[in-house]
Amino acid sequence: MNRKLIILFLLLASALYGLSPSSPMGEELKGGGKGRIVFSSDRSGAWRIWMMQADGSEQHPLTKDETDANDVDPCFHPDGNSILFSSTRGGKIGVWRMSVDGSDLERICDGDQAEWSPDGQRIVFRRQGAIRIRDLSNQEEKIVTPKDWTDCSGGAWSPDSQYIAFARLRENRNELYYVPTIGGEPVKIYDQKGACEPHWSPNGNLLVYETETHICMIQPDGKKNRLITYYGGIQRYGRWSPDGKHLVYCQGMSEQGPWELYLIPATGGTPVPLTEGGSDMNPDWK
Amino acid sequence: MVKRFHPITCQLLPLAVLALFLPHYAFAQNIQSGIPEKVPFAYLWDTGAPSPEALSAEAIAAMTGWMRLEEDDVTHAFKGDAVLSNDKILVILRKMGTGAELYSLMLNQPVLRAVLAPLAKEQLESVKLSSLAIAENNPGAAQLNAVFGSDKDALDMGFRLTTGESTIEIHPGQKAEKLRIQGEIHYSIVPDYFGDDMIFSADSWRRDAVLLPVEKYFLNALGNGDALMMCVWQASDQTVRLSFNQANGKQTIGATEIQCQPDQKIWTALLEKKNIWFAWKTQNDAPDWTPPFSAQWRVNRLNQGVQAISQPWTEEFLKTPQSKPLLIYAFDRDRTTPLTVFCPIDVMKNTLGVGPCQYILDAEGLASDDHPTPDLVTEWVEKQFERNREKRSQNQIRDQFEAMSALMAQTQKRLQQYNVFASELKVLCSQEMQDKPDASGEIQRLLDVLEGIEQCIALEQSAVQQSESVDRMAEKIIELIGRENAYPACQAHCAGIRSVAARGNSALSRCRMKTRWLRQLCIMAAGDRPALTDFLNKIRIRTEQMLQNA
Repeated sequence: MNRKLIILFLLLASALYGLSPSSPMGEELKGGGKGRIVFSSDRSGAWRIWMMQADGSEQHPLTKDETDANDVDPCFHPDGNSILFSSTRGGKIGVWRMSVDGSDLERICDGDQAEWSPDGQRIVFRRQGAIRIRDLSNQEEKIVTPKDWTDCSGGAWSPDSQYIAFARLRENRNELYYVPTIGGEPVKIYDQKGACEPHWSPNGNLLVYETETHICMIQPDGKKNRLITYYGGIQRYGRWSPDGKHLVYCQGMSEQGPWELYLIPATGGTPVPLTEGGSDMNPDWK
Repeated sequence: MVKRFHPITCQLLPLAVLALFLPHYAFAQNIQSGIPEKVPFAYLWDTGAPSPEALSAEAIAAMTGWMRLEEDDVTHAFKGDAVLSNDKILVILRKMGTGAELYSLMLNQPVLRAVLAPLAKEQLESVKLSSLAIAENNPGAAQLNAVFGSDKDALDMGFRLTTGESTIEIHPGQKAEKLRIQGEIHYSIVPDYFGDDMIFSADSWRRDAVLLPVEKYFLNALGNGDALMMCVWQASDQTVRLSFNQANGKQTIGATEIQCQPDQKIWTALLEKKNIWFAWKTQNDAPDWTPPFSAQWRVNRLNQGVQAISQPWTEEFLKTPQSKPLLIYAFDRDRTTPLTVFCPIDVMKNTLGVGPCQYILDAEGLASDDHPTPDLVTEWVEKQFERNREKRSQNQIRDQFEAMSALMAQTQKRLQQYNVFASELKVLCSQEMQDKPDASGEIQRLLDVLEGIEQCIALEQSAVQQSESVDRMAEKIIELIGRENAYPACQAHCAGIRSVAARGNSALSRCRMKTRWLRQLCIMAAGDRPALTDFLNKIRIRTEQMLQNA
């Protein structure tokens, strides 16, 4: 009887081992993805910024729960020592910065969805539906999207600093564009399936983006468009690993969540769960 | 570009031999061979020689003589038949075929599920493929534009397959009036996710064809309970015709035909898993079925006729003898549904970009930018109480309830419109029946539907009168602000609001479905009874106005 129980236990354990995030398959995938992932989570109440290792371990909050405000959209500084995020602290949505340990919180300006320039000297962000660049050395700002484009979102800096990719909402559907950082006419990348949330690959050759349901990849010239996730439910917020070999993204049962973070090879393949419980969104990987 | 795979290399011959014994496994291996990583794909193939008949599972598994086209090769001249494939489905356009043959690769071996063919107006039989052009050929997507027939009668239709999806995107050309889907169809399901489905089987309708009361989607239950085909389209007002075959005194479903509109896509998605749908015909016994995967399952009790009574599946069904036949299928995912499983609502979101809730709100003219739906508002309010933030959020709570109340009042207003509509048409029908007693059968069918609308609204009104009003429940929640341990009471009132809202949405959805059915009955009856044409047109136009919220 005991022997049967031990065998049953071993079988169950091996089955569970095969399914768990720390399975050999998962280890292999996560082995390619070193570094840290910062994300927003509502598991402790309001939305807060959390951090973990890229293998899903050491999950801990960076911002604390002392207010009702929501902290979302974290983004690592290129040197990995500080983080930009959007917050409703103080009652008005703004771009904030903090040290990577969650200390030294500082409000930069009104707006949201901020991302650092590759040299860390400027930020791109959204205010009143326009994509703006702000020079942090002198606080000067300029709008890079056309004046009459009032529904833009998700500005993302190309690794060579030359372009900003973003989404524009038009006739209730999002479209992808990029525009030179020095200003100019936006170039359309793709206008189907509600494409938004573009992010450049580390080598600048590809953009990951999301449709209403899936994560996709496309060249900046609009060619080689392909699905990377094609699972049931909703996949959102695809972000690259620093080496460009993996993506971290959010998987939701529906548009209302709950959301969990998953890892997947950048070429597509089997996703591995990283988080569990509450809702976890807006990852960024360094 | 490096050629990564050729099926007749020595390296792959052993796999081709193995394919005879393990068709699906070998196919998956073959199709992935030579690729550095096992990445998702969408490929185009030339079979090398045209086949006079549909390919067998063995021939597909063996892939003998097949050549995969180089990425971005869009000028290839096909020597054999053209094949689009990914890891889930395979579509063959045979030179001697009359449509796109859709195979599933998701079970143990390739299974021919359906033939998709364009038809011209008044055309009954599909015509032979005359030419093919490659529109797209990369690992993300492959598309073939096919022309069927020749000269001025030629019909063109594009078939596009993307990586990893079991969906074919169809691009009808200018002259393609209909897309015919032929397969082993056991049921056609017109889902109403807030009300009751309508289920059409070979036994449910005694005529050559029936027009389905669809708006933008329906399901075909295929095979042996292991496949659902969901068809979705972009354009509104597309008619779907279900045709029947008669042979040896037995009626079977022949095909479904979806009306096409130029530049408007149609998608057909295969959802496969053993027991993904299940028909229980044994009455007075409990069903011998368990869900093959975790999901939200829908049980339809089948009455005489086509109107089912739908409800969510629970384990109680396994213990309870059933007095009516049942049709059960997966319709939406739950939190533990495997990522690799697709449900009909996944397909809807993936193609139309909206789920059923947003769809019905849009269709009924009740959508708004901030979506103050009772579900969203009460969930948010509950969170405020749970986190003791209700005092600080009290102004927002009041505003949210006000917006929600306005939305719910709109629902009730729409129901009243349906009530007036049904009453008016009942008067018209009664008059017509007096004038044309020989057409009483057809007119009575319309009257039955109209009475169904009235009954539906009467039930809703009675429930409204008997239950506490939403405004009163919202007031009670506001009165809880600042009180200690108010969360459980808030939850109870919020659940009450959601229940009232769900009932209202269900009534609205049922009325819409019945109105659509009324429209189709008018069109079908007009074909059978030309003497009633004017009367039926009048009713049909009124139904269309009602559906368009005009």
